[in-house]
Amino acid sequence: MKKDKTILMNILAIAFLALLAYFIYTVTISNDIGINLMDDNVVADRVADRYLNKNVLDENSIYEWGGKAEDSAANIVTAVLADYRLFDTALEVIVLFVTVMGFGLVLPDEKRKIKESTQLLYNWLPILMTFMLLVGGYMFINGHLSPGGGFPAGAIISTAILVGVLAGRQTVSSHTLKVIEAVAGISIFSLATMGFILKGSFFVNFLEGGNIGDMFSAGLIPIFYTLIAFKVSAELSGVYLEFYKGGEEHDHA
Amino acid sequence: MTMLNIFLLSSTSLIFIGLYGVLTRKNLVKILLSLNIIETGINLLLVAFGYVKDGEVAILRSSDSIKHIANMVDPVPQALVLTSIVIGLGTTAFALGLIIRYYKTHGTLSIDASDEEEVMQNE
Repeated sequence: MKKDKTILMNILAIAFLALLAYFIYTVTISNDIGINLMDDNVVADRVADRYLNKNVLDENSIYEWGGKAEDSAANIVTAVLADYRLFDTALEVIVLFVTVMGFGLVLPDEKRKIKESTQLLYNWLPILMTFMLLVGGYMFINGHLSPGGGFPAGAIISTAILVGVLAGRQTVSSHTLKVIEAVAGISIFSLATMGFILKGSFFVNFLEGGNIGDMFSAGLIPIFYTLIAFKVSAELSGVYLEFYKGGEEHDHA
Repeated sequence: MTMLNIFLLSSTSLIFIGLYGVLTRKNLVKILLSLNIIETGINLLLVAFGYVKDGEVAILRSSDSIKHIANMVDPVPQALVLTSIVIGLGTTAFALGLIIRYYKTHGTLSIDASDEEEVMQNE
């Protein structure tokens, strides 16, 4: 009897959601008013046009390879993320910090069993970690030239620490992580305040840009990305270490 | 059937697969997984909004690619999705912490356990 009821509920849920999905899909295709997604929407009609041509602040800014523009990052997504909409990104880092802090608060203090790692992972750990840290470092240093940036780099670096945790080696102490996180967070906001003092608005890119496509270009973007990478990696590694904490009781299975 | 249709169809189906899981599953971890599937679908939907037919990656690679700047995809949704992925990771970790706490209080992962008011007392 109870099983019949569950099957009936499942069928009802599928029918209801299929109806809802049909309506939402048709609306995304066309609702006869406003902008139609299926039309040929060129980017020139959107906000992104200003970002692509890099003439948000300076109307006469000319964007060309090897030239100087108002924002000389070759990766336009990075330019949007770490320059034009940096407020968004900085507050996102704060949201991440708050969720990770809440995670530490919510997690009950108890002993958890952790399986001992295999000898293979334990011995290979230094090599694996070296490569992961190299890739992560490349990601945030090259974030303004190629796909990548602070957040993926932070995720990769924290994954390196996760592998360490899985192999049973705690490579960094949680105190060090807290210090890194605090220093990076304070630096981001002091750079923002410096922009306010020098140029009159928060998070303004006050360094000289350099040529588009060069390693040292895009002004403050590589610096912000380095700080963001360290902050994100410290926060995420904190989560992994929090799971690891209290794992003194080893499960010899 | 254009490429954009495929994107929209797959993202709406991902969202509704996730919603189905949220509505019918009883296990909290499975509900969290379903929520993550919804999140993936929404990210795909946002990126699909920036789709341009025969568009290019919004990255300059050489002096040649500057000529295609009018043909590049919309970079704004991509930047927003990058934000939402990171936030999703943080909230997932938080939700897992809550689930661990729930398991400790109720002794089970089923959502039915919170209907019964008698809470297992440890300590």
